[in-house]
Amino acid sequence: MVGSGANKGRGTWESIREILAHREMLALLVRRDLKSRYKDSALGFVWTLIRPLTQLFIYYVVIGKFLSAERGIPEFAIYVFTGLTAYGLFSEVIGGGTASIVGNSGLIKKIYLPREVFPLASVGSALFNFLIQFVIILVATAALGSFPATPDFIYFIPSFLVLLVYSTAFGLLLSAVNVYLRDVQYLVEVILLLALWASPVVYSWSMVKGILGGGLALQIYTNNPITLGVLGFQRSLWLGGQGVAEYPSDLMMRLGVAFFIGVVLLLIFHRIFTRIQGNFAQAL
Amino acid sequence: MTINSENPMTLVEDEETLSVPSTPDIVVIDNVSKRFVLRKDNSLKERLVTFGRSGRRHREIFWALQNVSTTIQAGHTVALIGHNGSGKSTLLKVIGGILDPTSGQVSRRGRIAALLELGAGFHPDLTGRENVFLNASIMGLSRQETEDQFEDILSFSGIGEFIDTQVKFYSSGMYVRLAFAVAVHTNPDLLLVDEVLAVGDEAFQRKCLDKIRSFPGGRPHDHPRDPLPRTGH
Repeated sequence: MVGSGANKGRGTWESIREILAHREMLALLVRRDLKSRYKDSALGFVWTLIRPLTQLFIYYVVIGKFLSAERGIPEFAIYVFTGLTAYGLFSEVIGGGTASIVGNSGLIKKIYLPREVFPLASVGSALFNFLIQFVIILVATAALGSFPATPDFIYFIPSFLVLLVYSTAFGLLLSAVNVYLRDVQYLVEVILLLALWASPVVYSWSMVKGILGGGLALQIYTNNPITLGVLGFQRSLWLGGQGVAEYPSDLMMRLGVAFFIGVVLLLIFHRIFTRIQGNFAQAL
Repeated sequence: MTINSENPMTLVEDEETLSVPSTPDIVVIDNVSKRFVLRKDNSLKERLVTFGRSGRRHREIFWALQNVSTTIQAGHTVALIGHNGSGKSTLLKVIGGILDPTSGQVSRRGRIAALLELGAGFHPDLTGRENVFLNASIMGLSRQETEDQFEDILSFSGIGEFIDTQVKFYSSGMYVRLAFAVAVHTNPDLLLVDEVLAVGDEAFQRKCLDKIRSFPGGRPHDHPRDPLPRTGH
């Protein structure tokens, strides 16, 4: 017999088991997310690409050419798109996750489900979009003759995991907070915009180092998970930078530490989530 | 069972099912209370301005359920009867796990299907067919099981060729027919029904009652004029 009582958050293992039991439904929710987003639009999935490609175009022309940021950054287009893909994964998981509980209020008010599936479904649909962009990078690098088949490709795995863990953790937390305070949704948009410019997507890390010097400010700038993720992506996918670009020392170790902190954060945020999820249905 | 002193609600068991030999308890409700806090300051600005002491003036406390204890046995049909606002829907949501009680404990076993309010779990932009699969999987059916049942669900709902239309174009009657068809075909151990059947026409209501009657061991209330108000099966 299963029970639910007052203020009794479920254990982490119990939640994981419950989510695994619902994995088929999770897959359907992801598909629903993707399907309904561009339902009735003529171009459909192409729209997921138009946005990052437009961003790429703007940054390439305005920042790369007009502001001549591309000096010192070979293969600037690949560089920017690599960073954008990393940032896009992060922002899409958080943005989609934050809105997920409120957006699925119709289901939450009427039926019992482990509520974690809704933020996780937005992780799933963000991963799908990420996959498309990732394939584009591989195709583009192959076309330019700098396919990233080097030992440095190993950096892709930890940086991907760091981005995924942090974005999932914050997506989970913010989805729950957003139920009670709808301002969070708009706050997140602003912070994500800030995060794009606070990570070396359109400029290089060495430019920041030149201005901040080697002190504490640079450490803070470098060790935030988005910067680490973006740097890891560039190191693994952007061959133009090999031997030219400067990376922080011990990037792999920094990624590892960040990953473990991220896992701990994910567990803590999940505890908070289970604590406050009992009142979702009445707050929506 | 009195829930709320000024607005009582009673729990009535179908006489026919009362005679059914005792079966395992499917839901045990132990001293459950549910409190709602109504807040009038819902934005960050207002929350900050009215932080702390003065914040308390901006909220109201309302007890929807107070010290409810009861058990429901498998194969029995139970109706909750009471005036508007007496806590019927709240109790059903607490039983279904949709709301957590403020104090007390609800234990349940088996598969629960809930038909609370209209269009439980349908996504307006998806077609009827896609929603059937989504809804059935939410209720715990695998894809294969749903495929096996799909013809039955379709013919029971009477939706016909509109199954491939987006459900936002459905009438409220079609909505309920499809939702009910999915819910009963998931073969639930406990079916929570709240008002939704009031939307269907008489023929469909009779069909639903027949379907519920055919559940193993269970016979529902038979109120010809009263469309199966709130039933725990």
